[in-house]
Amino acid sequence: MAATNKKLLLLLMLPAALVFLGLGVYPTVEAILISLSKYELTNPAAGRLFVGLANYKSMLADPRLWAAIVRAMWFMVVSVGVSLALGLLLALLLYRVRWCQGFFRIVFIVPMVTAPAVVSLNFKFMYNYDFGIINRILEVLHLPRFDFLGNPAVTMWSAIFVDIWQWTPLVVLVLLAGLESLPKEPFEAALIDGANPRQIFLHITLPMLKKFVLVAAVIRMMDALKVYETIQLMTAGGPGTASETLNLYIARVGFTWFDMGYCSALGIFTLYLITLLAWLLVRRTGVFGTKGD
Amino acid sequence: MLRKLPAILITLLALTALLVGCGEKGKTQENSADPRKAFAGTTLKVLLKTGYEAEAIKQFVGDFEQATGIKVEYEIYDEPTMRNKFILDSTSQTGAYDVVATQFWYMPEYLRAGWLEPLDSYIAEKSDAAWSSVRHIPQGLLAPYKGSDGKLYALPVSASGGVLIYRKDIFEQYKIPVPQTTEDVLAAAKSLKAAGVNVYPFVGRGDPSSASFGTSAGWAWAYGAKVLDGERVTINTPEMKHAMGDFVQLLRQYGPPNQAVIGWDVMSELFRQGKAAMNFDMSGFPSVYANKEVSSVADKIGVTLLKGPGGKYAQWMYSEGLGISRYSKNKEAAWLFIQWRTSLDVAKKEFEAGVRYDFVDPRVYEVPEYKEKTKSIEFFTSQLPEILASVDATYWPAIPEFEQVAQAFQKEISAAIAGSKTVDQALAIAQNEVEKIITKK
Repeated sequence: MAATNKKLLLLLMLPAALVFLGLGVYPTVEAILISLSKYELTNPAAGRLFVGLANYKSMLADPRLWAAIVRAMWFMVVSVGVSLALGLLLALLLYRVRWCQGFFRIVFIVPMVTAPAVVSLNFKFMYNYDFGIINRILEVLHLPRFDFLGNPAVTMWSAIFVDIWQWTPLVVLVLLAGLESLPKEPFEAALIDGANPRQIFLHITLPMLKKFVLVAAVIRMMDALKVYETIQLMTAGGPGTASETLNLYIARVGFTWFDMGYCSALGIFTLYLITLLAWLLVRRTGVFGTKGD
Repeated sequence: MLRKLPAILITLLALTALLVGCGEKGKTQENSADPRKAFAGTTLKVLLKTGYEAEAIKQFVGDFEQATGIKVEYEIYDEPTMRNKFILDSTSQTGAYDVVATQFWYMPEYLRAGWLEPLDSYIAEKSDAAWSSVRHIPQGLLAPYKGSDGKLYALPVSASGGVLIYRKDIFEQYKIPVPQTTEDVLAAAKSLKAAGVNVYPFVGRGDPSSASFGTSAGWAWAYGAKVLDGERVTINTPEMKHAMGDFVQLLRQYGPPNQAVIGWDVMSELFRQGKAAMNFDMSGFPSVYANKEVSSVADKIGVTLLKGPGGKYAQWMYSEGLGISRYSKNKEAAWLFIQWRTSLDVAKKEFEAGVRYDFVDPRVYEVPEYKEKTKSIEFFTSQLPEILASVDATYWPAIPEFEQVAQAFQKEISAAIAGSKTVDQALAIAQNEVEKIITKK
């Protein structure tokens, strides 16, 4: 009977396993193989030549790549950091102030459900030096116009702001759900013991909310590292390469230069980079029950 | 009832075959009467880039469908997307597109890959006498579409040279002479700024994309500088430093503050809205700027050619053609479509509708209606032969790796315009990167 059940279980798992093999394992293995080749789509006559680790060696000597990685990390740290802080603040406000909470929840969902391409194009027009509404408002207020996208020192901040605007609501919703799921007893006990709001927040709310904060941080971190449309549609990585992040560079190598060997090497590298960062965060903090449970 | 089912099915099949047979007979009779109807019922997939070349197809394709019975399904994208779609379709060999727009700068890449069908046999054997214009197009304009085998792989729809477009009213108001040289442009920009003109003295393309490479490389040629001399990279040269020094100064000091991220679309928007006094770009733009429906400065513009210290004309070479995908399953119908698109008939419709006034077929300029229609912009149309004669393709890096080379160069120029690098630093980096691309080749 047990053997029959085991066979049935295997049979039922087979479709999912096949889908996983076909859509998950096979493309990854193929990407690894391509990353070991010199393979340019626009030069079919040259074919696919095995070059070993040459593409990975090229990565080490590619200053544009490392600059793009630094920008991607900077983007991630600032965007995730600010959206977590802002998200926590807004979630606490919404939790405390019950007035129109349903309305605000819907308002917060709007940026998240809007396609990033639409958001980016709208911001591109709003940021425009000559026609943009932000500069029109500055003009009405008798303030000097500001170059949000053409100034290399500012352009990344302009992109980060859009990312924060779009994804802070996700943090708000995750943390609000967390706050609502917290047990009431510790708070009541703290009040009876005479704890002030600051002490309650630092010693009860935050520690109990830790897992929700970390879930939001991991999701936001992976999203921020993968940012593409926001920058591509607003600045195309410019001026020069001032806003070119890792994903933009990979897309350029793969879908502008069609250098599939190098592009695959960059893709594999990014896969491991994101996995490593996520693993470090999860492992170090013990979220998802990997430590301390 | 079930027992009768096979008999019913056989009867239905026979009736269907009879109807189809009659239909085919009818179609053949119709076909023999009109050779243009030979491919009636075919559906052609056409891949196009945004721009006035595609606008004519959008507006007049119904005429082609009516004349041939061929249904045309077109897709219009920005240039990088269009190129991606063609490359991905060609590498998968699916033949999803029959006709594709081919920018001249990608021709070496497409020809090396063998993704386009040679047109010579179609021209020799299957030309439509009324629509075919290939024998009228100057050889110089056909040259970018020829392979090393001497065969023609696409027909040009448009061709541009480099021109300075300026605001006549502003130049008259401030009594500034019309620039004839790159030096004059800088002097005029300086005078306008000093006079406190309330528009940007100059606007051009300064973003890091390859689509803006034509502006900087074309400007450089006026100084005798070019990116490649055969296989040799010639970016970090005194001529190029002089050229890019002037160019970056022009855009940085006299252009909009966000000049380093401005591509052709914003540039055109700014000029059409009357926010700039000068614009150096391809000769396709005066047609757009002179169109009252989209431009607030339609009757205020002048056009002139520019020479530089190298004694050469500043260039903005561009040409777009139409080719047949090697993997198309409807090659003859595709050829009929290309002939229609490049015909004198369509050109007449284009200028009548104000879509454009510059054409590759010189017969258009002799059409009385064209002369009548373009009276108000004669200042431009009268210069067209001279503008096209000024085109000098020798400066262009016509290699399959164009996209990489153009981006490597232009991103550095964009950075210099933004002020994050000096021109010398930018050119030294570009030299190094382009050398790597050429060596890797």
